[in-house]
Amino acid sequence: MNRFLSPVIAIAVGLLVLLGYFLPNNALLAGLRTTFVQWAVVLAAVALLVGVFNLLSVHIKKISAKEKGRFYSLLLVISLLITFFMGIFLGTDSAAMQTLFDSVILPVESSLLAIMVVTLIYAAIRLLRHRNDLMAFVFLGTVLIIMFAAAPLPFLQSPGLDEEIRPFIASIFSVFSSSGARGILIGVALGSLLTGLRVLIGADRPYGGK
Amino acid sequence: MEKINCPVCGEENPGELENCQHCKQALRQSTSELNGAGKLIDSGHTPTAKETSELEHSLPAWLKNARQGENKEEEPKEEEAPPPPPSEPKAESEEPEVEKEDDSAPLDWLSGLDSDEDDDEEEAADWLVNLQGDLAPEEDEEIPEGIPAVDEPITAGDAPRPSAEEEPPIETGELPGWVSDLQGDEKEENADALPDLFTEKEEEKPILKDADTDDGELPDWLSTLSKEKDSTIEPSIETSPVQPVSAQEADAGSFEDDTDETLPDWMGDLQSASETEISSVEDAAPIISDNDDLPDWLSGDDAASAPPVIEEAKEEIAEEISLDADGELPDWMSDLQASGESEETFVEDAVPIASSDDDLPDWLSGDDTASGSPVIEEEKEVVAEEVSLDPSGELPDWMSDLQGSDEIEDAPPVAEEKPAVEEEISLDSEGELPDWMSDLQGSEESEDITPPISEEKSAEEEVSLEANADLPDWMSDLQAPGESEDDTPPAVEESVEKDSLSADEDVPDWVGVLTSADDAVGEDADSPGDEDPEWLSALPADDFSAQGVDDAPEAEASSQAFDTSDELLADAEEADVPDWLSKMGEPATGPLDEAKLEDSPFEEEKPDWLDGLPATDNGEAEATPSASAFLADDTPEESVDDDIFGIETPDWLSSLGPEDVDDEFPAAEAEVSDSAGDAELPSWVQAMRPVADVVADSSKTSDEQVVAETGPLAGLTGVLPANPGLGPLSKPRAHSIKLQVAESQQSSAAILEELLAKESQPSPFKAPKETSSIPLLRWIIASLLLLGVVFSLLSKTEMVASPASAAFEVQESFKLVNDLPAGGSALIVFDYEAAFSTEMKIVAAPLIKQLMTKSEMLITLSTSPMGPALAKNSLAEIVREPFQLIEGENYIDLGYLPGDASGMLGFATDPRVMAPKRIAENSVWELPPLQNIRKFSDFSVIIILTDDVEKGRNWIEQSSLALNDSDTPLLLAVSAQAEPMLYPYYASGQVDGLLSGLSGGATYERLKEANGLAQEQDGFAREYWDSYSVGLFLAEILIAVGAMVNFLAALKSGQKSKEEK
Amino acid sequence: MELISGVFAFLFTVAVLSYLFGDNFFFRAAVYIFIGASAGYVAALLLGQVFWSQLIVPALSGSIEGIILMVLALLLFAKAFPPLSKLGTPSLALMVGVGAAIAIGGAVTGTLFPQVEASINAFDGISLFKDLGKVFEASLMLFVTISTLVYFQFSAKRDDGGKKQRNRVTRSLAFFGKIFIAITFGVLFAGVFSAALTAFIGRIDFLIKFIGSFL
Repeated sequence: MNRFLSPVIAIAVGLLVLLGYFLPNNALLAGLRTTFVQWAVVLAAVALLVGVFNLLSVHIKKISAKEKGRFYSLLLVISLLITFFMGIFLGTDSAAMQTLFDSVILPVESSLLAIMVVTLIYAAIRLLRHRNDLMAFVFLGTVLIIMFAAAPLPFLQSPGLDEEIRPFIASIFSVFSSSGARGILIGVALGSLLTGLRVLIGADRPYGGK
Repeated sequence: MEKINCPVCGEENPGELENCQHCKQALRQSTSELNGAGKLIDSGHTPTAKETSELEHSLPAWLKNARQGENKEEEPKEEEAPPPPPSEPKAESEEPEVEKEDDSAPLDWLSGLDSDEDDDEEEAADWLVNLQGDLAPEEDEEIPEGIPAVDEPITAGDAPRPSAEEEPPIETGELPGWVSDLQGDEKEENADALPDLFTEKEEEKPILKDADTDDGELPDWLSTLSKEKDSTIEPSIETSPVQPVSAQEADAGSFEDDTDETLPDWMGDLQSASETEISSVEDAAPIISDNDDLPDWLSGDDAASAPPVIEEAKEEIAEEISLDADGELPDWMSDLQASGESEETFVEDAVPIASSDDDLPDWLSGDDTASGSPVIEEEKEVVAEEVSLDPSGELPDWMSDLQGSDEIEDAPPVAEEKPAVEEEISLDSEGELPDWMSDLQGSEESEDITPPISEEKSAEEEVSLEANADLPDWMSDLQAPGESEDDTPPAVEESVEKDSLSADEDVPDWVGVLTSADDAVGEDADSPGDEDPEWLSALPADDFSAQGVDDAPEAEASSQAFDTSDELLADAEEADVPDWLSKMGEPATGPLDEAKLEDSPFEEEKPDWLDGLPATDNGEAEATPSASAFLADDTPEESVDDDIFGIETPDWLSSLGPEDVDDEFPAAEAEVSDSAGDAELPSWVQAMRPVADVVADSSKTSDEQVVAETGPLAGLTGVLPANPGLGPLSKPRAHSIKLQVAESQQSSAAILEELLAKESQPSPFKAPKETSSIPLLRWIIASLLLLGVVFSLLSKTEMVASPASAAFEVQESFKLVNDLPAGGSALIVFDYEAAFSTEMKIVAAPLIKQLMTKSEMLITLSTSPMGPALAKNSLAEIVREPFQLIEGENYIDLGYLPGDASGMLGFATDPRVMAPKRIAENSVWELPPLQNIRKFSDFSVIIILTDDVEKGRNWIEQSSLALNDSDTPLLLAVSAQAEPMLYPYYASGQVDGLLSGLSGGATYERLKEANGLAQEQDGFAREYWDSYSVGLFLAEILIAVGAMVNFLAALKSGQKSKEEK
Repeated sequence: MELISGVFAFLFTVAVLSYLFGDNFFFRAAVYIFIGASAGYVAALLLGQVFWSQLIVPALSGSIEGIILMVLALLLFAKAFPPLSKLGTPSLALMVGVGAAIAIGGAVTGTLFPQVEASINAFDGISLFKDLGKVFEASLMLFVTISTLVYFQFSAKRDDGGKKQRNRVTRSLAFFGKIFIAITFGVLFAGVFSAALTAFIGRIDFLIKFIGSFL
């Protein structure tokens, strides 16, 4: 039964929601679409919770199996539990949680992004060593130009350069970039459209139904 | 010292000697073949013809026994068979023929016994074959002194070979050696020797020409007797006993049958004479004895001077031969006479008997019947019937037939000789049956009696000795040994009655010849006279008794009879034994071994008719079936149909066992080198032998080849040993363990070896060029960046001017926010990650500050779990004094909206449903910031703060429908990384404003400042602008320089690699 | 409180920035703690703000929708247990169906049409001779857009030799599209760098300020 139930649900719900896009004034379709969307939102939250639960179980198994790196897993599990219980008991809106967020999550993430600078520069430097074709040169050239146009050079400022040249260069490249981006966006949109249609017709079943 | 036992006498002799010290016989078998001197039969090689008599020694014991049994069976059958009427006309008609035949060649009643060149030998009685004991099958054979060779027919002068085994009783068919010597030549040389009585029968019973007769040529009278019995014998059997017709069994069996069937009555009587029948024989004996007309050789008892052996033989014959004292023909004689009237005819090519009357004894040469040589024929149905004696003195038919058997050239087989002789024996018409003939007749009655046999016996019965028949001495001697008397009196009587012999001087010439065989057969051949030949009288009666009188099929009796006969023979030799008889030596068969006739009577003097006998050394002598039977060691004792073999042998010959022959012949053959080579084997055996070029194994050397020493394959090389492991085994061939490799293979192997060596050898390892470690370059980069940023942060100086020009989208954003009505609710969506908090804060700060100045209530929302926290964190840093955000009043945090696009769509569709938040148990939607918000477009402005292109796109896509017909501006404040991908949305008009990155924030601040809206909270962008500029500058330099360096390095390495290649 | 937060923030920042000098224990620990804290915060947030108000309360209120949603939520929660994972397939199917529909609607109404319209509208209102710049710009933008789309078109025919090869026009457009894509990616790279640089600067500033606060 599960073989046919899931595809039926997916197709049915999807078609109803899609119809709401084209018939927004239909109250029935609007109501169904709202309900299904609300359900999807809640189920998405449940899915996120399942993910957290899975993360917890994996690291617990790693700790119990005494695998290599189980200490880090222990840290993870501890931090998870502390944060969880703090959020349950104190509320996620509490200062503690905010403090926790400000002291742990925010710095770490920011720092992780900060070290990306070095990595990006290093990657840009090594690019031509591994691939010295036209595309690489175009890419690097663009990067340098954009970086040049993004901010004025320290210790070297000129009104013409800063007020004329850079904006012109930026605008040109903006045209190219935006046009290219538009093409990419259209392509992505087309892909999304096809993927959605495959799901709605049952060709693809990412939810696991056969 | 090696010692060897003499196969003849059994004495121990040194191994060095070739002949026995005691008996002078050969100690070893002829090794001509063993030494390689002998030839292997090559393809196309005609097998060596053998004489049956030569091979009789190889008769298996069962065959001999069978013969004896047949002799016993024939006797009753002979009794049952009615006496056939005499066939005088036939005899008369045959006489001319016989005469003609006789005229051409001397009458040789044993001519039929000669070896036949043809393969289809005629049947010849064994005993007749044995008569050729001194006749070597090949020329090179050396006849042992006194002892015939293994394959030699037993002759009268041959001494019997010693045999450890029981010898079959000597039956009536076992003629003494001199009788066996009478095996005629191919031609009827001794036709004259035929008595008249024989010639009579020749007409009636034409002697069947037997082209297949073997070496042993029976006299006509003997051959006719054999033909009678062979009448029912199958054609295939009608071969010489020494010639292979079929299996040896058939041969052996045929021997039996032949002996049982073909022996004339008088011959059978001699064999099967029993003690109970002695009286009948005795009755006949006086008949015989009273007959002064009988030749001496036929009058057995009168030979008072006969040696004891002969006397015994006479007694036996007397017992068996039943002759009417009134002159009635003895049964056997009458039988012979009656056989002439039967269908059977004498074999024309019977044993050659002296055709001329002069040659044949009187009793053999009849008036009417030409003194034809005795004919030995293979196929003779009723011979005895043909044998009849004309009371008027005419030769019996069988006798006449014998005389007329000049055409007989082929020697009937030995086996056939016996029956032939039996059948052809035709006594004088007066009915006188020689004792020896009556004995022979009586012995046959013990043999198996078949209709033909019965006919034969009936014919044999015709052969009868006249009461006053002049029995030849030899025949009378045959009556003497009356010990072996198994013959039934009636049968004997009948035979005696039927058989007829010329009473008076009608002694067949051949008988007369026989009588003179002691000195020389030929001397006495012409004038046998009435007197008993000395040789015949010298014959021990036991011989005859063993041959004809003794009716016991048992080997013992026959052996005894043979023993006695041998003794008698030996004594006979001493007492005027004919030369030819004395030269016969020991018979070839076992039972005759005891005769120990030292010399073969034929060695010194041979009658003319005997000259025609095929010599044993005759290379053209053909092997006879009987030879195979004689030689067969492993001949299975199966019931053999004598008919198959078709050899008529007297019982006394059939009683010979192969065991005896085997034991004796090796010694004999040792001396007979030439003859005992291939001649050992009958021709048909030779034909079966493997061909040399087929058998020979070229892979083996001659030394390695196994040479058979015994058996039918004796002398052959390359045969498998009979006993595995015992024979000379060839050494296994040594094979080289070295692998033979061709040059091409070697070259290929060398190539493969090189390849493998290369694999094993470590290839020059090129150490990979160490790439710059990430820490060093990264440290440089990091260090430079740190210095610059730190320096710029710590300098607090404006090294870099704020961007003077603002991007259009920034200006639009500024304008849009600036134009917002006051007191509205601005939805700010914080959908960025914590990592981008600094940038987003820099970008959002001036915008939010401006909104604050517009008294906008801020509604925060996030589709990211961390959004609310980020929102708080950002707002806390952005909104500072004098602005303050009070939740519920000018600020509401709607919290987290899950589902990404679905949540956006839901919120855009119905925000109140999708964000059911409560503050102090009050729905936020009832609070002032949101109390006027019913739909998504009710917000004064929607500011999307995101760092992710996907989220921004989703927000744009999902809110486009909701904001399609509204004036609610949608602003995007994005990270610098998302701005390129989201700019099209701005370009498309879907987004009203776009702020991106630090530069955007800085630009917005500059615009605000320029527009007099600068605030103290502003400046985040400016604070970081210098560092940002320094950072970008440093990055640009590092990337530019580094990329160029790496590019050049890559070019250089490429050139190096190309050069290396 | 702010001091504790500051200290932790400082420590974690230093720990993570220490990765510039190589992987080390502090970096990994900081990362693992961050993951755990984040997971816990999310879990707490979901349970506090989503499940209670949108799942449990409606279910307890007895509404059909609430009950169905509760059932679907429980079935989806079975995905966490492998033996019961198949039970969450219908919930996933609903999610996937809704998401597919939303994706289709948004792609069509939010991107395809507007972007195509925008590409067309770029020539709207401009005169070929007066607004040559705009025309050129619009043309250029159109050309770039098309070439970029063509670059992603891989359908091709087999020539006589059996080799797949696109036609010459396609190959030419694809070549330009490839260049424009490279420019776009370059711009993107610059933007990422800019963001990272900004984050870097912020972190350094934090550290300086923290250290300065103590000085």
